[in-house]
Amino acid sequence: MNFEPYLEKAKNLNDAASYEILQSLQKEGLPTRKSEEWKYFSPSFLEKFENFELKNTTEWKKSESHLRAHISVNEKTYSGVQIAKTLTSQGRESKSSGFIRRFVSGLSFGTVSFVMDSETTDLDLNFSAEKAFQVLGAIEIQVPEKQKVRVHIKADEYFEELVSSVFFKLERGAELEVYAVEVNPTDGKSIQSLRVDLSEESEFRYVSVLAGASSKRNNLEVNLNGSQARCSLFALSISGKNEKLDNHFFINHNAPSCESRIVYKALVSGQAQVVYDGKVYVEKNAQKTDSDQIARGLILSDGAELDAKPSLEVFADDVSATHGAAIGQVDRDEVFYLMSRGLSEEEASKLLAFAFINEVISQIIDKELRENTKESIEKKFGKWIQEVAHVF
Amino acid sequence: MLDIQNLHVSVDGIPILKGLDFQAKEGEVHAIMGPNGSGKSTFAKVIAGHPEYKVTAGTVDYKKSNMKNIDMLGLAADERAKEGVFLAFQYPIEIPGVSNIDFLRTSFNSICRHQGVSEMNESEFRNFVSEKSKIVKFDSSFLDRAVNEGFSGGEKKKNEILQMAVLSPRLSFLDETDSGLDIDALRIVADGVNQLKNKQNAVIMVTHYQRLLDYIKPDYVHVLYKGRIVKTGGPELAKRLEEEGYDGIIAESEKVIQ
Repeated sequence: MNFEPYLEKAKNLNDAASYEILQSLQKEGLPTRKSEEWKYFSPSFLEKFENFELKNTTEWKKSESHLRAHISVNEKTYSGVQIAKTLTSQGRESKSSGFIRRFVSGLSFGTVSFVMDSETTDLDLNFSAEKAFQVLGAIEIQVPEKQKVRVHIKADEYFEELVSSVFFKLERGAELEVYAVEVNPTDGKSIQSLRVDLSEESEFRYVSVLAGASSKRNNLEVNLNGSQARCSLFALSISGKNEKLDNHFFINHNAPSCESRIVYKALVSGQAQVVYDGKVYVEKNAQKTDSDQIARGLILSDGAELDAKPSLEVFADDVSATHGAAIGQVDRDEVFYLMSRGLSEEEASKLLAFAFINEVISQIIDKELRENTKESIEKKFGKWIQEVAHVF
Repeated sequence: MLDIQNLHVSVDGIPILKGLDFQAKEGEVHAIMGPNGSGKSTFAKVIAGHPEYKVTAGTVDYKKSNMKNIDMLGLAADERAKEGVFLAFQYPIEIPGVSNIDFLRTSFNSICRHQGVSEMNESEFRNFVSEKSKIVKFDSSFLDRAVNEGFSGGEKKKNEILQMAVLSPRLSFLDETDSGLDIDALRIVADGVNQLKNKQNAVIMVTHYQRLLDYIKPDYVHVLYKGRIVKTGGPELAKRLEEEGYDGIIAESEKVIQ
């Protein structure tokens, strides 16, 4: 891939940061499967993107406390610099889930700042294409002091290739809730990234339910930059057939007295391949850090694969941190316990399948969204869930 | 109510129970004692219908009042529960993602359906359970938490007895319900069981320790050894075991067996 034209463009725009990134990209090229980070998911499809044009096509609609962003791109208008920025290295490469940092650094499709009277702002970020084709979108959002924002991130189910990136900056005491619920089976290939930087006393809550994506890379980076910032991440993957889902979560404790929690769950069946790579990094000055990370997976067929790699790197000495993974098949004792209370084998198995999923879904605070999510999982995967129940 | 003859049970092909005979009637309280590995928990699990415990010989007849005998071995675990068999687990299972009260109601209603009793809706059931919770001083805030998740040992055992109170079984096995309890929790749990026993039901306690029997008075004490009941007596037998250990009684019984 030749980045020369974009180097030229960045130079003309006097964009030193982009220039630097593009330069290293020109030198190193796109990452390949040889790199540990890209072992399961090759970004080579990006080679096809040509004739990039830097153009802001984000459209914002605002009505009282509700804000909608439709980020759509026509066939031929891609932002080359943004792709470039997504793929270059910057910052503390070895420690972070490098790619995420590369992907999200310096994105600027549109910068939005919220100043609203209402207690909570709702924001829908919908990545879509006018035609069923490639979509590329990136956005940066700042949440001011003590404001609350609730965000729903969605991707159009008809895309072929999607690269999206969202970056939130939370000021002191700000609260952000992000819901990424996609239960539509899609054939497209996507790389979606979310980065959240937290100032002191701010809070970030993330709930994601990803089911039925045929090929997806899901990146999440959280930087706890101010003391007493908190984040909790709940994620559920449901994958079957030949689907590939590559999750990379990274939490960076850069300040003291912060809390982080990750609950990751996966149901993997068929020939699906799911990756969970969760890294929690605790800086030297991040004393009194409180961090928990758990990954649980159920493998439902011989051909299914789940690679879970929760990890923890601690450089501070006064820290409470745990991480763990539990992967396997369902315990017969659990089924027996429920049966001994009068539930039939089928009821017991369904309840356990539901319970496994519900540990994440129950974290959706909004009742309507929670019920809708349950319903759409039942609807789209009802048969499949029954199949799950049979395995118990 | 329960008549077990010559019961042989294997787990993973290894024989555990080897010719166990046992009878229990309505209104009785039995204690099963015995050294580690004698088959106590196997006995409790096989009666509750654990699929991994294979019955290789013998019969288990279960009689409901004014009804004909049921061959218990022909029933799956859930069918036994519906017929009024209950097992309080030694290690209750945690079920993240399902609230305690939803689990209790699902269980309660499936048993009601089977017994032709009308089911309860959410609010009726909440009142019903709150009332039952008092029996074991179970903190009602635990009703809305996931089943046994993050419960202390004492709370888990109280939750088992709460389930017993809600399902009102006719035949209850308590598998080492006293293990892992401090003295206060033991008193509360035992007091709960005492409130639940009556002339229509039977309670069978599997335990290592005499101290549980100070709180729940058994009518009969049985010593289980190498998969058989080798001695049966009254409460005084438990006292003798506490003082002398199992050795003397086992030696006596081995003479008899030979």
